[in-house]
Amino acid sequence: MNPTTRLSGYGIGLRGCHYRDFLDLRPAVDWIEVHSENFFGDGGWDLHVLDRLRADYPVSLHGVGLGIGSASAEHFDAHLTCIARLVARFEPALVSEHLSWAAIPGRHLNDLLPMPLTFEALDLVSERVDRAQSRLGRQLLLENVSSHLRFAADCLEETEFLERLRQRTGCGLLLDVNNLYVNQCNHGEDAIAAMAALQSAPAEIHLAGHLVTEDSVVDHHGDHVAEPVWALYMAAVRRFGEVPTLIEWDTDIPALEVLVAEADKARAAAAHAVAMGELCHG
Amino acid sequence: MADGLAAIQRRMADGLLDGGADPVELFRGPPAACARRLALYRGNLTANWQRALAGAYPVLEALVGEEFFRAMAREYGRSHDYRDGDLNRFGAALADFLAGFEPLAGHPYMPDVARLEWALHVAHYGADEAAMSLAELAAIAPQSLVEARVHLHPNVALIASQWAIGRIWQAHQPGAGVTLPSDPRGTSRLIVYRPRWRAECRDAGAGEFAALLALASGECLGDALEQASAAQPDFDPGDAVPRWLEEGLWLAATPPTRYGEQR
Amino acid sequence: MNKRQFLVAAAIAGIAAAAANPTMAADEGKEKCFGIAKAGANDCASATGGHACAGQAKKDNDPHDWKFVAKGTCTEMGGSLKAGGKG
Repeated sequence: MNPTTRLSGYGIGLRGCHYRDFLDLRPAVDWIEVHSENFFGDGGWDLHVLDRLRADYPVSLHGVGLGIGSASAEHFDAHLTCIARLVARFEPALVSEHLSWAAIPGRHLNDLLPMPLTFEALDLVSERVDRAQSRLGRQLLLENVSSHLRFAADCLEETEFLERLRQRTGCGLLLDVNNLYVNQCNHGEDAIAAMAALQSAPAEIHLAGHLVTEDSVVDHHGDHVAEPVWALYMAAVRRFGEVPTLIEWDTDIPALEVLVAEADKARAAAAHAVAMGELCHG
Repeated sequence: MADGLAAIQRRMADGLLDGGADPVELFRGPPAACARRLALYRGNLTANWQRALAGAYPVLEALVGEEFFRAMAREYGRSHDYRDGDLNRFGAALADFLAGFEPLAGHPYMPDVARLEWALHVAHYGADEAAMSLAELAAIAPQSLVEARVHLHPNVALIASQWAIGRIWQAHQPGAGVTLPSDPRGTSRLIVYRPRWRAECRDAGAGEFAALLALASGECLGDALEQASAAQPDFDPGDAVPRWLEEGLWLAATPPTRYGEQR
Repeated sequence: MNKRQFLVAAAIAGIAAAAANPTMAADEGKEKCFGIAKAGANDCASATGGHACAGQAKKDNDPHDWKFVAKGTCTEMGGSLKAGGKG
């Protein structure tokens, strides 16, 4: 059995603590996503588990360490080579990265730092996306990130930046609806307007939980998807139609069935949004 | 002229790493709020470093306690110019860092505990190359085995210490039934290996440890076994060699090429 | 037969015996087939900050300000030692 290289439906992020349950139970989710860098080793248990599960689930590779918007490129090609190795081995349905930066010369900060949303940055990221797509021989998806800060130099909205990037490079978009909501809270941005800046459907949607703190809303991936985020998700489905949707959970990870139930909730929410849309628009 | 992209990123990175004046003028919003939010990113750095180290060094974390471990992770992260986008390799230089880390000077066994845990971590992610089997060794002509070179499996590490790090490590493994020694002094000779998917470590006798070290440094099997016998007079190769193979410690054995033979 | 040959002959005899007698190694059960679930160090969640991480991050820039004392299980192995194993 070799699942197609396309995917659809509702997936969850595969994490180490659920490997055994996945191997024993093969839970009913449509696809799985992993963090690419956690499979950069030469071998071992993680790669073995992914090999086994790849036979039953379409896989999405989600990178967290490329820092594609870093002005410094010294780490870029070596990192891309590791991703290319995984792409060749697992033939993933989707390969994604974040619209963020992470490195300066001589130093990697290993975080998803927000991009200055400038035209200079757009030029740089476009060039990097071109390089990555030509190295991987396939389309790359870019994800909007949550942020605590916006730069004084910004002259584009994030989704506007991503839409221009898509038009220049042919990349796909990964729309993180929770991040849109977090940025709406943190910067007073309008999440609905942000979605309206996208001229066609994203290739993937992310949903996750967040934490409200005194200073900022934190995208901690440690809770159920919040009600306002479900509402935004339904708005996204009304605008774009059904899009492959992933539940991410990285902090205080609960039992696997909780994640499966959350994915089922997304499935139901999307179906409801589609039905509502048909009712309204005939 | 306003800062370009490289300068903005450099200034933000310096602000996160140096903890000096916050470059709040880079951002929109009131300076005090920007400083607090910049601190969230600074906290992310530490949290990511701590998590990366905790994944590789669970025993070290238990030994020093969580608060100390987090503060230590921050010192290590700041002092160490890490350049890799994969945090699973972040801890590679920790043992050397700890050897010079003054707050742990009273616990001089910690760097060796770190060496052991890092070897286990590396073995966890190591290549899946098939180890040499008993049958493969049995197929080599006996007369050429004396001069044969043995390549240890890449997931094997040999760790010697003047501290009881093997027992200290075992005492932190659930269900091992080993208690912490009251005194950390005591010689350790440890073999780290990965029989299938699970990296393990075990105590080695003086003889087998001497033999494996000799093989790792490129000496032939006959010489290695002779050194084992010298280190431990009752060393039994009939017991040790099959055990090494069953544990997957050998990758291959290469018989010597004959004199004059062209390769 | 010199010492080296004698030792290698003993090893060969051990290998022949082990090969003829497939051991308990084949019978380790399912548990041994599983690796240890390590939480990979790379993820895309933000730390919850606030208290411990962010607060401390503002301070402690001066190495002389170090106030932390190792107080995990190491306290069960006595106090200060010196390198060289001579306490």
